[in-house]
Amino acid sequence: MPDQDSSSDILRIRQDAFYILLVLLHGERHGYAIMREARERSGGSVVLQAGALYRLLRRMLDDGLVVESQRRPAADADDERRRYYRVTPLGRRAIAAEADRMATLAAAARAALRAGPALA
Amino acid sequence: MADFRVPPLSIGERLYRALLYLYPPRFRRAFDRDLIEAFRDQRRDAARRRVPSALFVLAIAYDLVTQALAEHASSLWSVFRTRSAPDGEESPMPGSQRALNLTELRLAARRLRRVPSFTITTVFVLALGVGATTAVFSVVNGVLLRPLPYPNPGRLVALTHSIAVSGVEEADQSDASVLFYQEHAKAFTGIGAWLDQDVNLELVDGRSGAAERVQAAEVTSNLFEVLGVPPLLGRDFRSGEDRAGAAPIVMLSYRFWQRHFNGAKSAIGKRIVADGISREIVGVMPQRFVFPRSSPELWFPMPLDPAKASAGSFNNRGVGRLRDDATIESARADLSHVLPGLLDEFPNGIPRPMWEQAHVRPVVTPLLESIVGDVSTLLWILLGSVGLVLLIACANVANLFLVRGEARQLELAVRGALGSGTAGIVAQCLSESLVLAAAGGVLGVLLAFVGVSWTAGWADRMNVPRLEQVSIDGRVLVFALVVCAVSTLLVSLIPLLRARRVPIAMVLRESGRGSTAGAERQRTRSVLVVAQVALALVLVVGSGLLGRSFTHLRNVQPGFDGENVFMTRLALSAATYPTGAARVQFYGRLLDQVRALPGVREATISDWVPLTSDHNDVVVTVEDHPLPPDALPADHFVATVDPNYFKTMDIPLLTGQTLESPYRGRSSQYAVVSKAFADRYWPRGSALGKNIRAAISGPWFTIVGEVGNVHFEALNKPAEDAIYLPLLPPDSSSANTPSFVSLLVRTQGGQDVAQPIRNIVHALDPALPTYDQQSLSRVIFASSSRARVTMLLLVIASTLALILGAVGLYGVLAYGVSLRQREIGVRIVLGAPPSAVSWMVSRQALVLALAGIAIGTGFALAATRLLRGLLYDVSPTDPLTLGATCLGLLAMAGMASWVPARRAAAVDPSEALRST
Repeated sequence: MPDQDSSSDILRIRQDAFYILLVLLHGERHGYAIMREARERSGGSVVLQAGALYRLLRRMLDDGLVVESQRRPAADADDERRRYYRVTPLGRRAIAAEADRMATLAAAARAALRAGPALA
Repeated sequence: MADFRVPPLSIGERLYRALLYLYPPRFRRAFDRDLIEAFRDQRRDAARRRVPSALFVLAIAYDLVTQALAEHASSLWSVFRTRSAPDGEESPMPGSQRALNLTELRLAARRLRRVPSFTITTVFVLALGVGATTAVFSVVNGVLLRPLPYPNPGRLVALTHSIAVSGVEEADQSDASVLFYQEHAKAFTGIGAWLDQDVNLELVDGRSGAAERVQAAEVTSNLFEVLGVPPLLGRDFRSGEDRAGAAPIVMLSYRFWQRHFNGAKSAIGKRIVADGISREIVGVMPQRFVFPRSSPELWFPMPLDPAKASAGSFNNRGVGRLRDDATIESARADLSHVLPGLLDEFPNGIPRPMWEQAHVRPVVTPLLESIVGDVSTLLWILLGSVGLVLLIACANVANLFLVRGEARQLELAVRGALGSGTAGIVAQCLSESLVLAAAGGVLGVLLAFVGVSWTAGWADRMNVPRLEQVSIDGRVLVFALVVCAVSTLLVSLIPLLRARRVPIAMVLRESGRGSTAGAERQRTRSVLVVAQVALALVLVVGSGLLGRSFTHLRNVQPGFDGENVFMTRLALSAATYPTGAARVQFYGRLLDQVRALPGVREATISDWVPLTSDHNDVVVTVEDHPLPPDALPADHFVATVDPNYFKTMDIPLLTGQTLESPYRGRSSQYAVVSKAFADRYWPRGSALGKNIRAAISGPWFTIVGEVGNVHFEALNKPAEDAIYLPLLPPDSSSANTPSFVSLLVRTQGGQDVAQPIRNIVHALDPALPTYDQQSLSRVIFASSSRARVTMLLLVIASTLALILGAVGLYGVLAYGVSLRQREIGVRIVLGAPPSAVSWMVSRQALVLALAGIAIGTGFALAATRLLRGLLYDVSPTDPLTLGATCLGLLAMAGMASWVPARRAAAVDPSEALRST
């Protein structure tokens, strides 16, 4: 996959996918933990059901943003039936790029809002 | 949590696992274990957070269906993509592919037009299914799912108390508890209360219209603020205005404002006179404002008096808004923590030992739940029934698809052989399904629009609350979409899977003969039929149980004869009739004039008409049943009646005497009790001559008679212990004489006396409205209307299920006979008598029906438990109903097999052998 060009494609990640990556940046997680943490971190605005989550994961696996983890977390916290996922370097780059994009947007919006009354 | 063994699979989990087959195989194989794990975690989580199981199931089902569809779509998409771009380069959303799909759809529509009977049947069944389920769901949505129409409604809670007094379980709020909680509770941003208190409207802005009875409520001044709804016009009540002695003011509902002021803003500051009190209008509430539970048109501030507030009369409904950091549990703990101090501040109304005896405990319930209450089971059951009918209908249509698939097998096989990959064939089938689903869905939603008002009408007769909230909104449309998608998947998926499985060579070889592939299809069809029979059985058992329960209910004797009895309600205003004497005098004059009307046989007055919303329970002390010191006496129903009551209502006198003339001169000391009351206290002796009194102090009443039991509250509850006290004591200075009463008139032959009675009342007091005029037979009828409507709806559903099941069975048998013509021909040639051939077909029908019955009985036993709360005097596993249903379904199978069996026996062997 040509990294340079596809990064602009991957940039347009949906909010749900963004939160999945965000959760995984904190460490390897299994599916249900992702659902729970995404909800917590988004303040309840991202409520993923299992089907939606795994479809997104499937696509992100296909796109190479995440991979299934081979390592396991601490033995006592582990449940061997579960599969854990982690972010790939590409995924890291994607979320960094997305964060930059949002920061640019936010800065632009703030500037426009400050200038707002004068324009109106 | 410590247990990490793999738990045994629950039914829900097994079902979920089976439903995972909705996903494309590739996705399923990759993620099925993870999905099941997540399902298990979610369920544990939902149980911990007390998410209603119905909601949980709905969320899971919605996710499953939409994601499965989307994944199918994207996997198909990727098939197209790989075909159009073989070098794996991802092409960005080419218009060519959309065109391809549109062409596919157009072709599908054209193909479907060539088979109109198939298309019409499918679209019709889909539309009916989608329409009916959507209409019922719109009621479920409006009543149960849609949040209350207040800002941040999840923080609103109903505040009640649990209480341990014989005859009562729940108590609302007293004046004292409202003031006390407002002052001390910390878990709330506000606590308000109201009391439904209808009024006689006398003057509006100085104009006197016809006397009108208006629904009204006394509210705490902060109630609208707690609910979060500011007035449309004018101002809200201010704190301090809900105290005794504050200036009399009123807020109007939008409807009242429109009716009496034509929406003029000048209404603010004008006055109305209600119940003899002149009040200044300070505000108008918005049009969309909905009051919890009741629908008052006027709101007055409560006249709370901290110095006199009683702690023990729990008349007010309480509502609170939780702080953001509070939960139901912490709010309850908060109230429990402060409640013991209540009597220190408000010692009035109840002695402390008695208060402690009553074990008063605060109860905090989400407001929505407290409003919807027991209706939710009923609505989910109805939705489930409609859903079952839809499933059965889908099974029928799936059978149609199978037959069609049969006819097109050769075509598909050839296409396959010529290189149209699986994807092409699947796309063709799916596009047909899509066209059918779209047509069925659009028609279904149209039907639902019509059906919603109809369904709401049914629901109204079942006394379902919040019906004003029922409409078709986004969620209902999404639901319709999901129903449509699921049913389309159901009807097209099975044939699709079959189509992909049959090897091409076999089809080509068999195309002229039709046995093995046909037989395999026939097996699938048989499975569908067994499922139909099983589902139909569940519905028929359900409606059978409700039917039996309803028959029992209808045979319940209410204890009085409502035939030809007519009621009229009156509410004497305290201003015009301040004393008991004045009220008694009015009742006497009214009764004299009404009795003189032509056709009137008896007339009486009572403050409690059985089976209506009337209610009056009072603690009753029985003289020869002394209680341990400070124990709380039991609650009993107390009705205050005119002596002529028993004769008018035709309630039999069992022993002793009624409150009639012999006692008229000194009847204030005499009471009549129901048989149930006498049996409770004196099971072996006689109640006559015993002394009782309402409340703890006060005059003793001597029991002079025992009358038959009456069902006061509901026909499906046991007849209550009741005490009848005389309405017309000679020393009628008593302030206890009720001012809210019903005039009951028994006529000769059911003449309409409504207008003459209104005329008499108007002549006696022009400001006194009459309301709620109706016959008692109507009251009795209405009291069982919820049971009747539920039963009717289930009977309709199960009849449809039976018909659809019979049609499905017939179809399979008839098709089976046509497939086996050759074999049957051979049998006949070899000497099989026609009866044996017929039996062969009928036996197949019976085997299918028996399999369906066996499976269905299992489902029914699980499902009918849901009906428990709706059944009267019938067990959910009533063997008679179950047995009769099984026999009925067998009979249905017999009937469905009748024609195919005869056709089999009539097969002409020479014809059959030559034709193949």
